[in-house]
Amino acid sequence: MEDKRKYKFSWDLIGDIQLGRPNLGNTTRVEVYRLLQFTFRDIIELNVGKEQTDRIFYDAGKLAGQEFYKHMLKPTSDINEFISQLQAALRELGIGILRVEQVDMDLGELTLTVAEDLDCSGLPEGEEEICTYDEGFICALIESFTGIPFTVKEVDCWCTGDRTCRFEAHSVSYNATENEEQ
Amino acid sequence: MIDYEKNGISYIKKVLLGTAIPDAIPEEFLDSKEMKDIDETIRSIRTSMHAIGNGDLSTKIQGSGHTIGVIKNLQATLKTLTWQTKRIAEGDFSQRTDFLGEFSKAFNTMTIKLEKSIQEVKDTKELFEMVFTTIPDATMIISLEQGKLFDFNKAFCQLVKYSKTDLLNKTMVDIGFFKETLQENAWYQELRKNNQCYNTKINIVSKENNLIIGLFSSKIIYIDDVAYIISVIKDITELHKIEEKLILSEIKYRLLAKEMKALSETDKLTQIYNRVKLDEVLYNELERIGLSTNPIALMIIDIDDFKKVNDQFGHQVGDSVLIEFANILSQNIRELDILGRWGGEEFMIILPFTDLDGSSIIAEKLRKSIANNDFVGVGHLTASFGIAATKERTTPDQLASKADKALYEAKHLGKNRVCSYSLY
Repeated sequence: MEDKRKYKFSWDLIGDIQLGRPNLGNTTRVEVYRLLQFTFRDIIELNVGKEQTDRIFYDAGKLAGQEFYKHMLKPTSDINEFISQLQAALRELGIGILRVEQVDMDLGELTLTVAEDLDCSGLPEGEEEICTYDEGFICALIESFTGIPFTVKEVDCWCTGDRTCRFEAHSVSYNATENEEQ
Repeated sequence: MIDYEKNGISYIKKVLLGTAIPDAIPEEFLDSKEMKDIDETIRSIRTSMHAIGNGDLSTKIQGSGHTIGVIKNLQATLKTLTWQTKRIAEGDFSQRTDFLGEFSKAFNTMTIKLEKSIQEVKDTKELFEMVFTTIPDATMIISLEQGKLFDFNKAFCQLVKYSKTDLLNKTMVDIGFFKETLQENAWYQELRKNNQCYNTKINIVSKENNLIIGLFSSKIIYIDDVAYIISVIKDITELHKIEEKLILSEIKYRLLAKEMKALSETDKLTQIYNRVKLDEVLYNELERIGLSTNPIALMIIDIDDFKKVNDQFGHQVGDSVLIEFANILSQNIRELDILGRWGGEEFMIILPFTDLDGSSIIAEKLRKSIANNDFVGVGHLTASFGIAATKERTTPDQLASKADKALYEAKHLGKNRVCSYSLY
């Protein structure tokens, strides 16, 4: 099965942009990104349904997060240094304005917000949060930094009427221990 | 229908503007989803804004929509600022806030300035620690109240011969630091009065019980609101020894100089002044005459027929006669008179503030004392006296010449007598 795959992701697939786009350069418009993402979502959803699509986007975001961590951030063991780097990178790449509301690594809890989010800011309001890709992306970043599994859930989203996307991250191992104790 | 709308507007106004609001939506609107949404949104706005206004950022803001979203965004911003402020308090000055207009500018400026100030404090602290550690003079910090060692440098350990471990948590009393309580108390007193003292000499004791003379420069400082004394101690023990030696040698030198001067002015045989001193005194006295009208007399005394004494009894007896003769003169003159040996068997007496009559009386008294004396091994001897007196400025040579002339006359007239010569 594995050898039949057409595009197993590697950072090389991003290609040599300088070579390939000597005149247009390394930027495009947000509309293009969203056009790509939401057409994907539409067709995938048609094929596999809503829940499966969310899962695919979560996993894709997770893969992106792992690769982003490896290639765009410098290794560090300091949580504050990690957050600073991440804030700078997300802002520089125009992904969003990351803010930290709360960090408690002893409890394995983080609350982050992303304003002006690339995925959803400005989208029409609906009933459901849409940033499943972001959830996976953030989850992978935190897991890569801590080395332990996390779950990330978007609790507020532009699409549900909020002006900022809020994500809550919880350490799986801490929660498991807590449950066992109970 | 009109009443329903009126009631609806009135209710919305009440929950939007009223201080106290009903606990629940009126029954008449329970079937209206729009009214229920409006009611929940307004209640959520009231609750969340009240909480945010009181600094409570933990409230879970209910509802959705643009206005609720803006409030959630405000809460998120405040939560982020709280988190960033905590980070700054822990020393993370990389925190910046953007897209909040003037506030961002003020916040970021504050963080940068705070970082700079703290860096300056750190630099100053590092500089102080560097100076404290490397300063070649012994330096210690002790608490003002208990005299407990707070910190000290290597030079201090070297001075007092204690190891760092020996000194940890010790007081000055524990290590018997001060040699003399009086000095210690005076030092504390000076510090309490003036907050500082410079170059105060204090005797201290090393671990090996050796006396160290320290020159203390001290100042009261405050660390976490507790008063401490920082002292730089210069070891002047060796210097003090050299100083003592110098003082001693200076005293010796002065004594020696005095002795040499006395020797240079004294006649070795008779132990009265010699001619050098007589010349000096006479010169000074005649100088003084120039400033006043007080008289001065000069008396030259010659032992009659002294040659015969030497010839008959030998030079040793002659010398004894000279000594005895000088003693008689010395014992019969006034305190202010200056007696000296002029040469051979000739003596001179300078009589300040004395005219010819006064000096003649003294000369006559001396002449009789000599004539009546029984010189050891020789018997009776006599002496001739030549006196010259003046009230005006003259030279030592002129005055001595006149006295000598008077002496010659006394000899010529038969010896054992007093002749005088007045210059006024």
